[in-house]
Formats: sequence, C-alpha cells, structure tokens
Amino acid sequence: MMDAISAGLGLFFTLQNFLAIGAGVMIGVTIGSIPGLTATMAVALALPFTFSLPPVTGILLLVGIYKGGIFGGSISAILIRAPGTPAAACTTLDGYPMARRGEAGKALEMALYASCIADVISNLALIFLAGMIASIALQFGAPEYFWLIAFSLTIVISISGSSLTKGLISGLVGVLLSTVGLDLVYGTQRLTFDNFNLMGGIGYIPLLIGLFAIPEVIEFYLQRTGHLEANKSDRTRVSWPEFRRSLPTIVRGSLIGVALGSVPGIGATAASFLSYGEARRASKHPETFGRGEIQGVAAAESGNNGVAGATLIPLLALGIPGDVVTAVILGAFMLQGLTPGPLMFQDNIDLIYALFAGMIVASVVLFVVGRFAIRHFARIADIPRHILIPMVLLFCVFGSYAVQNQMFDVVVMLAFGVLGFVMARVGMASAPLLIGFILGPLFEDNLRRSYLIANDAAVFIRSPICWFFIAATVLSLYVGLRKEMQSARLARQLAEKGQLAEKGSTV
Amino acid sequence: MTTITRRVATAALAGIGLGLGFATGAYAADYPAKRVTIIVPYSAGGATDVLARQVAQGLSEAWGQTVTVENRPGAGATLGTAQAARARPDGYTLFMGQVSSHGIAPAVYANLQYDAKADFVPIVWITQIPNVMVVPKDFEAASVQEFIDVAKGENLSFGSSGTGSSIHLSGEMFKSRTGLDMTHVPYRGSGEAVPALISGDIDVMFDNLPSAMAQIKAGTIRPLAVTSAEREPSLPDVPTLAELGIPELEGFEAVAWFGLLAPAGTDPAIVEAINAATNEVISGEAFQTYAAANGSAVVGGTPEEFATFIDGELTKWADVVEKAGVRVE
Amino acid sequence: MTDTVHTPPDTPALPAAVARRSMRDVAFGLLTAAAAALFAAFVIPAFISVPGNVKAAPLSPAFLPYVLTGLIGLLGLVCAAQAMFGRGVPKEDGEGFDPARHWPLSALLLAAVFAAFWWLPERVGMLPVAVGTMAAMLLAGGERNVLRLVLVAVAVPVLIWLFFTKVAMVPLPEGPLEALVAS
Repeated sequence: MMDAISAGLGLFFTLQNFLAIGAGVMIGVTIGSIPGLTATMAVALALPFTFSLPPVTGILLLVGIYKGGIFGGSISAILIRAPGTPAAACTTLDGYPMARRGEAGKALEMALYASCIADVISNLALIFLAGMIASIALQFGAPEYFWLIAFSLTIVISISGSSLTKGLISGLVGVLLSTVGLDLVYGTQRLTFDNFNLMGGIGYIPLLIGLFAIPEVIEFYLQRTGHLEANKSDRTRVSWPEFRRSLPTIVRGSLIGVALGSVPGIGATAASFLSYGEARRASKHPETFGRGEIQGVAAAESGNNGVAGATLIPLLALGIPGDVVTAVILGAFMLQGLTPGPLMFQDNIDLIYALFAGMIVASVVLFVVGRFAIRHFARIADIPRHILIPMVLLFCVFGSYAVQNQMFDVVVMLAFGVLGFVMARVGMASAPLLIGFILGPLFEDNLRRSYLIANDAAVFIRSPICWFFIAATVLSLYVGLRKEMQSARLARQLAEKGQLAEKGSTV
Repeated sequence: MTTITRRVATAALAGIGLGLGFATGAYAADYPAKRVTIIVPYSAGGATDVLARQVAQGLSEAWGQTVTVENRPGAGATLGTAQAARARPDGYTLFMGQVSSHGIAPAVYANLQYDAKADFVPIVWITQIPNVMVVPKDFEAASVQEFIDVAKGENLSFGSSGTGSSIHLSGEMFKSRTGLDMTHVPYRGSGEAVPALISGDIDVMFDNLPSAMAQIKAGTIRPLAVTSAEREPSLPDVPTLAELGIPELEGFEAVAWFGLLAPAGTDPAIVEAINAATNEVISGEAFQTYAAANGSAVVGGTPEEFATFIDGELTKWADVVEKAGVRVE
Repeated sequence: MTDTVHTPPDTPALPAAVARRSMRDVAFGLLTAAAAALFAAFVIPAFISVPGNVKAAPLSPAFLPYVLTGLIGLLGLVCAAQAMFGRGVPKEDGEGFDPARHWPLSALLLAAVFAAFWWLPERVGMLPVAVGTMAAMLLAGGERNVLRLVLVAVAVPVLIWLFFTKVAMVPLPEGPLEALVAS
C-alpha cells in the first residue's frame, strides 16, 4: 500500500505533469468561457495530443481541461448571461444580476471559491469512497433512474420565480421540446415536421444560449433604460461574512454534485440546478434568489464542480463513463493500453495514486489560474454596453454554429432567444424549461425502458432505491409546494397592506 | 517555397473563379493543393471521430497539407452523411463512412437524404471491429447453444446503443435467425447499456468489442461468441457465431467498419491518390499501434474491394431489416 | 437577521406586489390552454407516428406528449383562474418593461439582424454578415463616433472569426471568400 503510494507519487512528481495540468486548466477556462465551445469539445480536441504523452500526463491534461472548462463556463454566465458551458446555466440566475449591479468581481470570485471547494470535496469522495459509491451506482437500473429523475424534476418548483403555475408550464414545455427527434424505441419521427434538421432533436446548447443570453440583447434595444445604463467599474470582492454564510451552501452543493456525478448519465447541469433549488429552499430569504443572491452563485457552481471529480468514480472504479467527457477520457485510457475498472486498481494502482495526486494539484492550479482569469475577464464588465451587446450576439451566433457546424443551430438559437424574451414579458421563468429539456429524455427513456425490461408496472417499486426516491419525490413536492404557497400568501398580504396604506394616503 | 507559390496560384485562380462563377479546379497532379476536410457524422470524441483524427494526422504528415476533421453529428449519422453527399466533388471534402451510414441507415430509414451508392465513391476500407455477444457473469448459459436453450419459450431482452445501430441489428439478426422471442431495449450509447447488462436488467447484448472489452477483462460480463468471420486475436478462446455448427447461425457475420469515401464525381485519379496515401498511413506503425489498442483490425485495399464490400453490406442489412420489421417510414 | 444586509438597497426584500385581477394573465392562461388543446387534437396525431405493435401505453411515442399537453392545458386554465380571482401574485419582472421611444424601429432592426444571420452566412459568408450586423447594431446602440464605429465593427468580428476558424478550427461558412481562406 505505502509502496504503491510512493510509487504513485514518484510517477506524478514530474515537471511534465505539472505543465500538463497547468496547460489543461488554462485551455479549459478559456474554451469553457466561450459560449458554444464546451469542456466536452475541448477534451475531445485535445485527445489526439495525449497519444504521444505518458499515460498519467495525458489523462491529467484532459482532467485539467475538464475542470477548468466547468469553471470557465461561469465567467460568461456571470458577465454576459451566456452560459459558457451548459452546466453554468444556473449560474446566470444570480451571477448576472450581480454583475449588472456592479458586483461582477464578487460573483466571479464566489464562483471560483465554490468551484475549487467543490472540486476538492469531489476529489476526496473519489479517493476515499470510490469503491462504495461505485457499488451503489451499479444498482441503478431503469426504474431507479426513473425515480431519481422524477425527484430531480421537483426542483422546478424552487426555480419557478414569481409564478409557480407559469414555471410549471415552462418546465412541461421543456419536456415536450425534448421529445422532438427520432423516437428512442421505434426510431420513428416525432414532431420533426418533416424537417431533416430536427431529426437529431433540438440542440441543447443552442437552446440554452438563446434562452438565456439573447433576451438581454433584445431587451437592450427595445427598452428605454438600456441605453442609459453603464456598468460600474468593478472592484468588489467576496467579504469574509459573505463567504462564511455561503460555506454551508457550498458544502451542500458539493455533496449534491458528488451524488449526482457518481450515477452515470445525469450530469453537471442538473446537479447545479438541484443544488440551487436546495439552497433556496434552505434559505431564510428565498425571495432574494434570482436577484443577485451570492449564495445562488455559490450553490450553482459548487453543484456543477462537485460533479467533475465524481464522474470519474464510475469511470475508474467500474470502467463506465458517466458522460461524454468521461467517455473521451476512457478513450484516452484505452489508447494507452489501460483499462479502467477493478482490474486497474489491482494492476496499475501506482498509476491510480498518481492520478489522485494530480487531481488534488489540479484543484489548486484551478484556484491560481482562476484568480488570474477573473482579474482579466472582469474587465469585460467595463466595456460600454452598446458595444458589448452586439459582441454577445456574435459570440452566440458563432458559438451555436460551432456545436455541430450547422447553420440550423443558429436559427434554433435565435428562435429560442425570441421565445425567452416573450417568456420574460409574460413573467414565465426560463430555467424550468431548460431543466425540463435536459431531464425530459432521461425521464421518458427510463420510463419506457422499465416497461421494456419488465412489461409490468410493479418494476417501479422493485428495490429500496426506488422507495427511497419515491419518498424523496413526495416529500419534495409537499415541502416545495407548501413553501411556495406560504410565500405567495405572504406576498399577497403585504401587497394588500400596501394597497390599503396607499388608499389611506390619497383620501 | 512550392507551397507559397501554390498559395499564390490558388488565390489568383480563386479570384478568376469568383468572377466566372466556378471554383478552383482540382488536378490530380498537384493534389492536395489546399486544406482537405474529412466529414465525420458523429460528435468529437466518439469512435469514428478518433479514428478519423488518427487518419487525418497521418495524411497531414504524408502530404504536408492540413487535413482537418469536421464533425457534423445528428440523426444517427444520416445528417452528416447527407451533407457529405452534397459536398463539392473536388477531393477536398472526404467522408468517414461506417456501417451506419453505408450499411444500416439506407435499410432502416425510408426518407433518407442521400443515396449510399449513387452519391459516393468508395476510396478505402480502413478498419473493422467485431461485435461480441455478451451476457451478465451470472447468466445460466456457458455457450451460445445453452443460451438458445435457455431463451426458448422465454422472453429475454437484448440491449443496444440505440435503435438502428449495428449493435441493435446484430441482435435482430440473431433473433430472426434463431427464431427466439427477445425484446429490444435501446439505450443511448454503449456506455449506458453496459451497466444495465452488468446488473442483469438486460440479458444479452451484441456490443462493439472496444466498449465491452473493459468489462470482459474485469469479469463482470462474459463473452459467448464474436460476430466476425474469424476469431478475435485479443479473445482467442471465444468462438465465432458461424463456427459453432448451429445451422441457423451458419455464415453469421456482423461487424462495425469504417472507411473513407468521397462525393460522387470525384476524379478517379484523385481517388487513387488518396487510396495510396491512406494505405500507406494505416500500414504505418503509429496507426497499427492505435488500432491494436482499440481492438480494431486494419483492412486497407483498393477502392474496388471497398465498393464490393459496401454493396454486400447494403444487401445484407436490407435483408436483416426486412426480416426484423424495423424499417422506419 | 443580518442576512438582509446583502440585499441591494434598490431592490426591496419582497416584491412590491399588488394583488389584483390581471386580464393579461387571464388571456395568457386561456391562450395556453387553447394552444395545448390544438396541439393535442391536430399536431400530435399528424406528426407523431405510432407503430402498430406497441405493447403498453407508456411505450407509445405519443404517450408523453399527450400527458404533457394535457397538463399544460390544465395549468393554463389554473393560471387563468388565478389571475381572474386575483389569487396569483402578479410578478414584477414582466411589468418592469419600459419600451424605448422608437422601439418598433429597433424591433425591425433586430428582426433584420436575425434574418441576416438566418439567410446570409451560407451565401455571402459568416464574416461579412458579422461585420455588417455589428455596424448596424452599434449605430442603433447610439455609437456616433464614425472612426470608432468602423474600427469596432471590423476588428471585433475579425478577431472572433479568427479565433473560431484558426484556434478552435470551426469550419464557418465562408461564402465566396472560401477559396481565399482555405489553405
């Protein structure tokens, strides 16, 4: 054991490895911060370069890009409301309002702190609990997934904004949009309107960029106040009380990220929204969320970075990739002649320890690179808005094209931009639509798969995990709805009081 | 030096081309005179993409010209394939074809936007990967014959990476040949399906060898047979389906394969040039190492051989699809 | 609690909501319900083909779409009822919208810009479209310094274009310029 550890450290402590991590994180932060160019893409493009590197160095390069990319997404999410990676969509909810009132620096800093802490927690979970977590993850079949997704969908309640009814409609429309494309089971066309481009479904990065970033662009030109506002130059920093207050949120978010990351297939976007919803539910001031609440940024960023390390758990412990990024990393392992999984823990344990050491170092590197990046990126907030806004549109157009090299995606992006603007006008939150869109296919696939496997509805209550998530779903619905109704009643009462007072003064 | 003059020449030609409304002509003699693009109808990072990048790198070195990979994913590879079919046939846009685009999809989808034969000229067959019939480690059959005995009269399920994939249709082929009643359970990618196989939610899968290899080595799933014509060097003890002496499985062959094609109308001399260069690249050490690590067999050969092979594939899969009744109108 | 300290002074902790009947929301709810009904009645049967051999209802490709449209319609009615009886909390974000004086003109410009990105890149190339739209938007945004306008409208798109084509290797549509840049 000790031998293996020291062998692993020996394998790790080379200049090359440190350079690989540094370069990886820097590439990741840069690519991640550009909407449309995702961490996944960056990892895939870097894969060929790893062929010629030693295994540890190559894998650490990819891991560095992955982690940097997940954080990098938050930069554009906060500064221009265009999530650089899908996982940063949730960060826009509070990060962008903060930036608009001149606290971009503070929001970015909190995003970095939350990311790094979550990253460390996620790494620790990977190092110490991989075996245990992996054996639980393997118990997830279609019915278990179905209930886990059902539970995750209940967060729509907490991210619906001012109107719960409209938020729910938004979420359902999201699920409906996700059914467009070729049917999973029969391969038939659904709602493609015989348009060839829709056969692969609606691209979720164009949808996301359009829905979040474009309404800002439209609003700038159509709204009176838009022209007058200039962003304040930004010197704000996270204060110690703010950090201390956010710490429980960060830890909670990290754990949610670890939990969702270790089950293959759910992903960082859902984790950040779940973390956000829980933070809002736990807060004494849920009404501040969505208006520039620093804990909202902390929750979102800890949720998505918590996933980053945890997705490596099923990969390393079982050899099962949890998402596209880990699938690419699996490819890198295979091309080096290595097979992740239980055997690797027997045959190449020194290599595993070297990777662990590298991942801890990557968290530190992320912190250093992140601080540097923030200092420079925060200046974007100083660009006059009449110049910044057209730039945002250009990035959105180029970025959504880059996802699949299709002009059709640009059209999709613009269409969802208009939809997002209309939704804002009728007071309908757009975050539930995104959540519905992301979780919808998982929900439906696992519903149908459960039927295919068992041909019997009893399959949905087949295991303790099912029961656990059924209980969690019911509880979350009950608590969530009750809380929303209470706060709605409170708001109404206050409003009535205000009305009375107004009347009194005019008489 | 020569590249600079070529660039100037190209630019000048382009200027003339602009005015006259046609593009720079491609002449086999100085091919390639500019960047060559290989269209991959899948996302970056997938098996086809990685292979294409490997080939692109080799060709770049051989030609001293950039060869880039362009990912055009969507609609189960058919979107990118249709775009490649419509590309200018000047030899500067190539296509990484595979069993989906030029084997299965034409049989499965009625409203395809390309004609696998008429819209393309085959250049070279690059690799092939066998599928492997795998069961969970506790499954009560040690051989294919035992599997058939167990499955008779029962409704077992077989998993796949998606409807219309080679994994799905290998299963359908097995099903229709043996007359077993098996339910198809589609996942989105092998990465999702393999865990379901490990935990026994699905009973069998005809997975591509590379995605099953990790679990076979770890012993969590058991290979019963491979679907290629010959045994797989990395699994020497595993029989092929065809060699088992089970009459229904006589001549059973289903592999995933990859090869370069060009849009129809490309100058035959250019096709020959690319064929020669690619054969050179894939017989090189770098590519051989890559293929071995990846579990794929390097094929190579002439454009004619590849064309014959594709014809056979189209016929075979059309037959399987018809028997299985999985055609999508 | 000291927790409220971080709330910015210009946004009150609670929305200054007014409990009243909102005819706009009544209309919205009813329209949503009507759209859902139409979708279920015409669009789903026409554009989702259900194979004949579906074993159980949830396996049908049309199952979830029907459930979803049903729920959307129902929630639309709920929304209308809430607004009718003043039960909903009217939200603040939608109504804080204060259109600019020449907003129809601006809307027209945006429509033109979007349409340009829709139709033109594959014909004239992404870069020229980007330069043109950038200039138009800068002008609409109030840029009056001609030198700065030209400089920004050319430099920004070119830099972004260079990054995407040369660093990220994205094959952007180049239109007639393709022959010049592909080398």
